[in-house]
Amino acid sequence: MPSLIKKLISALILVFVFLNTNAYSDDWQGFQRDSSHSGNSSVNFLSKDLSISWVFSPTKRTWNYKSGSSVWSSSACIVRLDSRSIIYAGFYNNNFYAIDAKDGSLVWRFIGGNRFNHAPVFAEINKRPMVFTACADRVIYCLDGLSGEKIWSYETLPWSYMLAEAVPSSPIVIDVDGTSLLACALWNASQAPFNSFQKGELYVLNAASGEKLYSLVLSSTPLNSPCFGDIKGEPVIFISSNDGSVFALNARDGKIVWRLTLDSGIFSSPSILPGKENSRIFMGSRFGNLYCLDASTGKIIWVKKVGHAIDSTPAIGNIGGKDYVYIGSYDRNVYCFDAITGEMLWSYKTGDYAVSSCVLAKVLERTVVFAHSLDNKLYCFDGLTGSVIWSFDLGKLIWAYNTRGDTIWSSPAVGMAGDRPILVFPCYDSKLYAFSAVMPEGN
Amino acid sequence: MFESLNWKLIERPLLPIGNTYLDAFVFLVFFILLFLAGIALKSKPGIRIRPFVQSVSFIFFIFIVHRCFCALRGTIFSFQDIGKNDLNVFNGLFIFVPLVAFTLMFGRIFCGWLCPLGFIEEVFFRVPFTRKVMLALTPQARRLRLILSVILFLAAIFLLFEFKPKTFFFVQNIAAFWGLAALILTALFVLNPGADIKLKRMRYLLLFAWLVIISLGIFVTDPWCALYGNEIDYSSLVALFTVLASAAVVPMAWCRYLCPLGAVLGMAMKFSQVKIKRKKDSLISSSQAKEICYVQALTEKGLDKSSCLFCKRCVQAGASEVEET
Repeated sequence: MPSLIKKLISALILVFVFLNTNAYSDDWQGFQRDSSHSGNSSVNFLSKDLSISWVFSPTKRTWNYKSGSSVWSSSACIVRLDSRSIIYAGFYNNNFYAIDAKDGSLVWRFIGGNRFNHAPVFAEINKRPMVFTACADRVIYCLDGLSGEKIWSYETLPWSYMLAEAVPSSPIVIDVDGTSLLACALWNASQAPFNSFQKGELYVLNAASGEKLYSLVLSSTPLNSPCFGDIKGEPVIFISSNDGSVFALNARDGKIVWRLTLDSGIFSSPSILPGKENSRIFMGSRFGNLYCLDASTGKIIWVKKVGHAIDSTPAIGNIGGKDYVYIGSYDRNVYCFDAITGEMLWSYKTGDYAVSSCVLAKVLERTVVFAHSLDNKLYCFDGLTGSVIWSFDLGKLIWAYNTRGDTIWSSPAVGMAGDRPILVFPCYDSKLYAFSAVMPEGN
Repeated sequence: MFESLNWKLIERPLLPIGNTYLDAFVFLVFFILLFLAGIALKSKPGIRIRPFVQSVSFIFFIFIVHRCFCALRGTIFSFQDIGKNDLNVFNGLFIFVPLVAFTLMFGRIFCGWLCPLGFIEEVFFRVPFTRKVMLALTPQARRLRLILSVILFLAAIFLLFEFKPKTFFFVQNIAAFWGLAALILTALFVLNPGADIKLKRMRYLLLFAWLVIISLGIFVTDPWCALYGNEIDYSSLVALFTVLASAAVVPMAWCRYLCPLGAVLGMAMKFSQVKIKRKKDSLISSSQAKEICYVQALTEKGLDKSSCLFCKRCVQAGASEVEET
C-alpha cells in the first residue's frame, strides 16, 4: 500500500478515535498526563497563591509501609465524567480509590492483592469510562470509572510461594488501527531453586476485553512506563529498562524497530516531543545524562550531563513557540533545557534530591512548572525564568530514612475540579493533597 | 556549581554484557592490570612498571570510564538482591570477589598498584616540598602540620554546612564525617607520631561501623563516588577534599587509617599466598624506612603486613623480600 494512503488511513483513524472519546482536553489521564508523557496541561490557575483545598487520608495506619521501589501512593489522574470530576489514585494499603475532586470525598474504592505503586490511566472506551491500573500482585485491573466495578483483570503470572512482589509500571492506552490497546510493563521474578527467573515484560492487551495480543520479555530488570508516538505513520511504543536499554517497538506486533544501550541504569520513563519531520525522545539516566534521541532511528541528537542521577521523567512544554524540557535530578536541581539545542536555560537548586517528575500548567496564563523535592517542598517555578512563584512545605518524612534511588516518588498532577483548577499531590505522609488558587477578595 | 562538569571520555559501554549498561571492557582492563601487577610483583625488575600500571589505572578509571569501585556498599546491597535482580548482584560482586581472590593470590596489589585514590595520595608524597613538610621532625614542622590540619578541618566543616541537605543531614553526609575523621586522626598522628600503630587499628573499628551503617540500608557515599562515578554529590566531594587534604599532612592518611576496602583486603592478607617480609640482615634506619614506606608499614624492627600496600619500594631498596607460601 502506498505510504500516502497509509498515512491518510492513520489520520482518519485518529480523527475517528478523537471524535469517539468524550475526554476533556484538560484532563490528566495518566502518568505524566498522556501517552506521550508530556506532563503538560493547559489548566490555568487564576492566582499564583495556591492553598490546600482538601486532604484525602485513606488510613491512619502508616506503620505497614515498606520501603524499596515504592511510594506512599501513586501519581494520580484527574478526569471529568458527566458533571463530576474524579481523581483516581492507588495507595500502599492495597486500595485503589476514586475521589471526588471537588471536596475529597470517597466515591468508591477497590481492594487489590498488594500495593498500587504506579499511576493509573483513564480512557473512555465504547463510551464506558474505564480505569486501568497494574498492581504489585502481578495483576492488571480494568475498573469501571464510575462504579469501581471490576470489568476485567489480567493475571500476568499465576501465584506461587516462590514469586517475588511484582514491579509494575504505569500503563498507557493507545489507539492502533481503531482498536484501543493497553500497554503495561510488569516485572516478575521467581526464586524457585531450579526454575528461577526475572523478567521485565511488556504486555499489550485489548483495552476493552483484556485479551492479550502479545507480550515481550525485554529485560531481566524492571521496565519503566511506556510512551507512545506516531512515527511517520507507524504506531510506536517506546520503553526503557533498568538495565540501561531503550526500545522502540511497533505497537501492532511488538517487533523491535530499534534498540539502544545507554550509559547506566535507566529509571526515567521516556517522553516524546512530536515533530513535523522528526519526533524526539527524552529521558534521563543514572549517570546523570539527559538524552535527546531521534524517535525514528534511536540516534542520539544531543546529550547533557547534570551532576547526578535523573530518575524523573522529563516534562515537555512549548512556550512562545519554543520547546523546553524540564527535569529534576539527584543533584538537587530542577532544570530547564531547550528541547532542540539542548542548551540549559535555567536551574534551581532545592534543598535535597529533586525526585519527582515535573508537571507543566499555567498560572495567570504564564507557563509554570510544578516539582517536588525531598527537601519536603512542592515548588512552582516560572517556566521561562526558573524563579520560584510559590512553594509549599509538605512536612517531614514520617519514616527514618530512605535509601537513595530505591524509592519511586509520586509526582503532582493538574486538572479541573468542575470549573476550578486543582493541583493534586499524593504525598509521602500517606495523604493526598489538593491545592487550588486563592482568589483575591471580590472574585 | 560543578553540576555540568563531565570528565569522562566514554559513557556508554564498549562491550555491553547482554545488551545492558554493564561493560565487559572495564572488567577486562581491571583484570589485565591486576594480572600485570601480580606478575610484576613476583619478578625482580617488576617495580619499574608500577608507575605505568598506576598511571593507566588512574587515567582509565578516572577519565575514561565511569565504573565505580563501591566494592563494599555495592557488595552488601547486592546480597540483598540475590534471586531478585541478578544484574545488580553481578554488578555488585564482580569487582569485590575477584579483588579478594587476587589479594589472596598476589597480595594487596590493588592498593599499591591500581587504586587511583591511593595514586593521588602518593603523588602528594612524591612532590619534594610536601614530602619534606610531611617528614620533617623539627618542632616547627610539626606545628606547621598541626596548624594545617586544623585549618583543613575547619574548611571541611565549612564545606559540610555550606552544602548540607535540608533533610537527613547526618546520613547523607556520612562520607563527609568519615573525611573529618581522617583529619582528626591526622592531627592525632601529628601530635603523637608514636601512636601510628594504634591509629592504624582504627581502620577495623571504622570498617565495622561502615558495615553496620550500610547493612541498615544507608546509602553510604564515599570519596570514590565523585572520582569514579562523576557524581556531584556534595557529601562525596567534601569527603574527597578531606582525603586529599589529610594526604597533604600525613602520607597516605586515608589508606593508613580509614579506607574500609583497604581494611578488608588487609584482613585477607593473612591468608595470602604472597607476602612481603622484612629482611633480617638489612640495615635500614628509621628515617630511611619513613622515606621508603609511604604508610610506615616498614620499621626498623619489622613490617606490618596488614598495612603494607605492596608497592615493593622496600624490596627495591633491599630492606624486604617477596615470599611465596
